[in-house]
Amino acid sequence: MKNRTLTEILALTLIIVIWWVASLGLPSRVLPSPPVVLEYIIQDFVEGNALFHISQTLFRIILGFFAAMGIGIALGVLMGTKRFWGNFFGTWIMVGLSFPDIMWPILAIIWFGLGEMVAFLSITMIVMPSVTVHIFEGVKATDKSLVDMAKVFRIKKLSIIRRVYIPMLMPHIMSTMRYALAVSWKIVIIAELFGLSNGVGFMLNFWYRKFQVGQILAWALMFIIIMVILDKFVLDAIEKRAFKWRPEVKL
Amino acid sequence: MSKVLEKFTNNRLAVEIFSIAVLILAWWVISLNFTPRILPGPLFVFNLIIQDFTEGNAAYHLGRTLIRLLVGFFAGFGIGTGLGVLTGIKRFWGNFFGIIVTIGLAFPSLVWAVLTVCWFGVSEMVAYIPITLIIFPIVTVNIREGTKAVDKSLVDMAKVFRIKKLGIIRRVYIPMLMPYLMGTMRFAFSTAWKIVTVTEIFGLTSGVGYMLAYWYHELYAAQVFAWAIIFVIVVIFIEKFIFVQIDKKVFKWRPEAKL
Repeated sequence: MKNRTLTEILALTLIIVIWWVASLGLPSRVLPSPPVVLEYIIQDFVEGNALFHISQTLFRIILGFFAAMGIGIALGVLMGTKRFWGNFFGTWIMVGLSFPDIMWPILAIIWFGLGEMVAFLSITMIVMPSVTVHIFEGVKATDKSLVDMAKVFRIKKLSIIRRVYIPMLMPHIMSTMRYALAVSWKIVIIAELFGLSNGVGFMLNFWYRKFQVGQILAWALMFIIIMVILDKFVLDAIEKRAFKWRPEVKL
Repeated sequence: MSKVLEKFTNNRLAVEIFSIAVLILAWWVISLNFTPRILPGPLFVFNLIIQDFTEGNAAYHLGRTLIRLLVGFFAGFGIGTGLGVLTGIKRFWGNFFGIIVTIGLAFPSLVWAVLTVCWFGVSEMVAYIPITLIIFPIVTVNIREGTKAVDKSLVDMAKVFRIKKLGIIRRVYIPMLMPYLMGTMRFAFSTAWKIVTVTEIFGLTSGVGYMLAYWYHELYAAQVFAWAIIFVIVVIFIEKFIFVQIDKKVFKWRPEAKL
């Protein structure tokens, strides 16, 4: 019972077994069995246009995610280096963090109508404040003596940012990235459900209106599996590259 | 002049008040170019908020939302704490629930909301279940970290003195877990209040989320602002006053650090 993979497989199997047993006692409209859902997934890919909807959603996630990371990092660095701006934007960020997520898709639709802006604005406005806070904390924790040394050597401001701040911020940026991605993929669904006519969120809503639990589960599982793969593989690969210079620690 | 300016920029409270003033002023100036239907001014929204409380039923909707928030929050927090301690102590359960927690963390709240409506129809369950299911994995992960960081020698000492298991949990584990519990509580609460409005839009006919959806269908931004701000004020109040008070009470035994 000490083998980790074995235990994980056992846990997964148990979930599927419980799901399967529960589905036997319930009508398939309420809870379809795992093979039925699997069949839906395959069907959505082969006959339906699952690839189209998922790629639309991914595209929106990436756009909003990069905007939020860009603005958040810039603001966080500004706030961390200049005390005045730290206090000034501190209250704005606090307000931004407190708004209910759902307000942004609603306002985006009222302001811009149904369209790509709904997803973009929602992700950016919801994710950006938390990115700013994380980076702000990171900048405050940077080693100031290195910055002082760079100044003594009369290195230009832009170079100090590129050569001193960014490498020191890298661990914070990486962990923020993971968090931001996880939040983005949850918000994009809400935005799509409200104001867009394609994407995973739209399909979830479409099957929800028809009360098709099987298809809801199929789309949710497809999306979650893809996002977990993205998180585990793509971000891990980026992290490895970013920290290549680090000596390996053997335990 | 520059000295006065320097004094001002170094005063935190002054800058904060200044920044809020700038925010409201900018909002007001921009709002002059639009109708309240698109972008209302601060004063207009303020009047709407008062009107919602005096003539409308803002207190009722707010109360419904808060009850749902608390039920879901405590259920998720309780389950998460139990699982967190279990997974932190026993390696087998750590691996077993580890994968379940990973899956739980990846589930969007919207999927739970939609599924609970299909399963239970329009009822309070639509709020309770998604909040609980979204919060418990977050709590489990944090409390597991906390449990792993518990000073094992104290536990060993308690065992030497033949203290019962329940006693060890109450007298050794919980006090040492307190900082983690408090931190997790805040984070879980901030997650819960974001989910509750989402679930109310889908499957409920009262609460702040329902009112947001109602005014969205009327395409009336002024009331969307009003309801969002009512909610934000209550949430900030809970954060700043209630949680800070609990924090103070729980950590009363700590000696104060003077800087």
